[in-house]
Amino acid sequence: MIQRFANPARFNRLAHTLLPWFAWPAAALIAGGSYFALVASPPDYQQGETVRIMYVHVPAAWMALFVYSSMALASAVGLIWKHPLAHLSAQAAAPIGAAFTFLCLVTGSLWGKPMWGAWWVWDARLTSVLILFFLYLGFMALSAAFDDPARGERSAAVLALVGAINVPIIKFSVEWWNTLHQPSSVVKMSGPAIHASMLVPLMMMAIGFTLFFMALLLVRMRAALLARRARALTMAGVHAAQAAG
Amino acid sequence: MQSLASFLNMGGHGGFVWGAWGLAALVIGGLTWSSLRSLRAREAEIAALEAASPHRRPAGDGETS
Repeated sequence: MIQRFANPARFNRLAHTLLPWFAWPAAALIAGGSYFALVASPPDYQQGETVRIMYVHVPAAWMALFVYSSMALASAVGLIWKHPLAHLSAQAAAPIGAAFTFLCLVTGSLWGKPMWGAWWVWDARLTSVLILFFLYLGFMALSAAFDDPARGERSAAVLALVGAINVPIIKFSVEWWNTLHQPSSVVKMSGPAIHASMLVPLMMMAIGFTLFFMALLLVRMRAALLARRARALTMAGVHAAQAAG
Repeated sequence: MQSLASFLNMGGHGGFVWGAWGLAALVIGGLTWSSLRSLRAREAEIAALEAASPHRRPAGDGETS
């Protein structure tokens, strides 16, 4: 099944078909979710209007973890089965994950200042997410650090796998350590402890962000495949010129 | 019906709430713009390379071998 889409031309056709199915629902969910989050949902009884930061902060945090997990999985597939699109997808995902992690950190800071009285605290949750941001940057730097792209992608894949240990640390940091950051209200064994008027816009934004990531991933993978092909064409041109000349 | 001013004020925390949402819009817009721009640039590059070597067969886009 996975091997079927190893052929870049077949992948391109699939990406072309899937793109509108991700992009338009993403736009609709983010637009609708923004309306409910900013206008139609109530202020929090403790946090007042600042709770509206949650609707971008929490989905961004989920994306930071989701994108990293998918990157680590793609890296494993690339290293073990040498699937030709695996490393490419991890590299295409990294800047998107880094951007979501950055958004999570800054919106968290903007929420922390009015609620905790501090822009930043070295609490387990915040510190582990900052490390996640650096892992993304390290992955991107390592991918581009070698003249031979294959060496770069293998090295970066190993980093992605080693860094994956940080994902459960982030998830459980609010339970393992005594943190200033509040524990999860949505993902709980006993079900979400959050009212539907807040849960619905939050889920709309979260699903919207996920579809947005998928759409962007397809666009970026297409661009990366074209770049690979441009390199091959240039090399072929050089060889042809040498043979002729 | 709340007034626009009180909506923008966000209970005195407008700077924090709109700052967060503004950055979210920038990140989403920026990612979309840069990804589409890079795709267009690669497409143009391929078109130029193919035009420069007309004897090569015009393969389906993205084919590497």
